[in-house]
Amino acid sequence: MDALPDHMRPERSFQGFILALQRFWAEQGCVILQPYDMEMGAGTFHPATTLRALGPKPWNAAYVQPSRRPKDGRYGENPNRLQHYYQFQVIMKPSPPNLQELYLKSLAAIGIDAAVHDIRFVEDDWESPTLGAWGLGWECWCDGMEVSQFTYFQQVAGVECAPVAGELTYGLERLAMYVQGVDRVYDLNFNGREGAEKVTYGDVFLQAEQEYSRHNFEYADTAMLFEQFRMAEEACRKYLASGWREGGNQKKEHLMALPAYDQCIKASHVFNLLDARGVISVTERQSYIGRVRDLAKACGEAWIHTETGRAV
Amino acid sequence: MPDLLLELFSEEIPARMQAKAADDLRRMVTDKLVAEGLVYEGAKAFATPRRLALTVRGIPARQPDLKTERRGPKIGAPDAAVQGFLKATGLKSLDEAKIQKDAKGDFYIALIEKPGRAAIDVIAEILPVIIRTFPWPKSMRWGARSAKSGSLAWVRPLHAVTATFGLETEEPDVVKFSVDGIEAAQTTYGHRFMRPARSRCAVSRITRPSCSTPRSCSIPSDARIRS
Ligand SMILES: Nc1ncnc2c1ncn2[C@@H]1O[C@H](COP(=O)(O)OP(=O)(O)OP(=O)(O)O)[C@@H](O)[C@H]1O
Ligand SMILES: [Mg+2]
Repeated sequence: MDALPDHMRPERSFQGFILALQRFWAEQGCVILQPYDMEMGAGTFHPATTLRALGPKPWNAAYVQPSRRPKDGRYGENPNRLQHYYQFQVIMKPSPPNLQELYLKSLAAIGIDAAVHDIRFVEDDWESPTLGAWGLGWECWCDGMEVSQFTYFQQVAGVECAPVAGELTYGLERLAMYVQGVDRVYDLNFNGREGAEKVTYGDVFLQAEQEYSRHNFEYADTAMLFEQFRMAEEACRKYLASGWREGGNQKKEHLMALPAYDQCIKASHVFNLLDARGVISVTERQSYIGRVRDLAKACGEAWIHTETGRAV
Repeated sequence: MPDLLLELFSEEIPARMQAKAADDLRRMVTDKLVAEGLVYEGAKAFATPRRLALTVRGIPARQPDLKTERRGPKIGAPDAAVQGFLKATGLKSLDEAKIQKDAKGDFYIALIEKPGRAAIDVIAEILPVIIRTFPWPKSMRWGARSAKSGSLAWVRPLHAVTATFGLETEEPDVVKFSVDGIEAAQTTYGHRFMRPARSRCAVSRITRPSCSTPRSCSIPSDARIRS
């Protein structure tokens, strides 16, 4: 770390902050992946978490995932709530016995000293009704603000986790605000330079937050979105149905779990947009969530019949 | 009389569950002790975010011997019935049986004496059962062992169990048992941030909630500081 140029240090730049986390988790043996190339509400939706959490094979990975939460749009006016923000996601299966220690060490690696800051593990029973998933763990607080989610997955996509995977989700902007000592996410130094060379988080994302907030709440084309939801649901079911094969020794196999799951991700994001637009009633809401969950469960079932997902 | 010290060391227990869990632990352990004939002098339970702990003071070193009578066949009963009676009671011959008269005739009676067992052995049987059946409102599985069915469920991952039994004035013994791969021992861990070192537990120092030397460090109180 000493060899790092100043502008790459985690307390100087948002990008240096991300690199420090990647480096820390790479040292723990994680595969460092890149973001999934689809819109999703949380890093948990990345197939590297949802699907890889299933089945007995060990899996350790970490990655940044842009997370889109249309309803969280605030037209760029809220200091720490965005409709597009970055999560840093770590998944370790089976969950190692020292996962909490590793988490605290990772905070130290990005400049958060537990002896100085008030770090707490506060009960949070995590549940994703759209993913048919639940787990137990905590929200991790730093000086009273939720900065990470820490979960021991018990069930994902309707499938019991055996063994259990541990999942860490860092809210990158909020943590970086601590480390850089700024009160507004848009004031974060993105590239670690000063003066004319300095690029802030606001330079990169403020306009996008304003435009997307307008889009999410006022203008998103609802007729198109309803149609997209229907199409994604239909395509998911079609791919799932076509993917089954009779494998060797009379075993059922699935050959298209991943493409089917993409459509489930799609449906979930489209639902979030419709929800933000306020065109889904309270009763319809439950039924939409149930429809996405049914897709997720069917994808999980398919996945545990694939080469990577099945028991050896 | 000896004291029992038990500490269950885990990851952070939800705040709303801690007090009741300490209560449940005290109730379950002491109920079982009494049911086993081990009447104690006093018990106190503690909870912090990462610990449930219990001290039970003044437990007899052994269970009392148990004497029971068992009624057998009538005098002159067929041989099969007599043999069955001897086998079930462990008597070598009918000479060892008493004879009791009642309205229906004369019967053989066996006096069975069951010597009490050492309390530490009884406790070693009681504790793993209590840990496995602990009434958490919600519990979870974790780690490599969760791949197999029947793995331990606890409120959050359980890391260590301290269980000692002995006189206040002497070095206590470890109560030997294990649950799902966790061996009961005599080592505990300090507060995550304030005092992370490992310490040896001694039952005689349980009354002090904070610690100065390893010998006197039993239950660092992390409740007040941080989770
Ligand atoms: N809209 C947002 N803008 C910026 N950071 C966010 C936003 N929502 C969540 N975060 C951060 O991301 C971290 C992980 O996300 P997480 O899914 O736990 O968020 P959450 O608000 O608790 O939502 P959920 O209830 O769906 O879990 C949080 O700990 C938080 O620091
Ligand atoms: Mg959360």
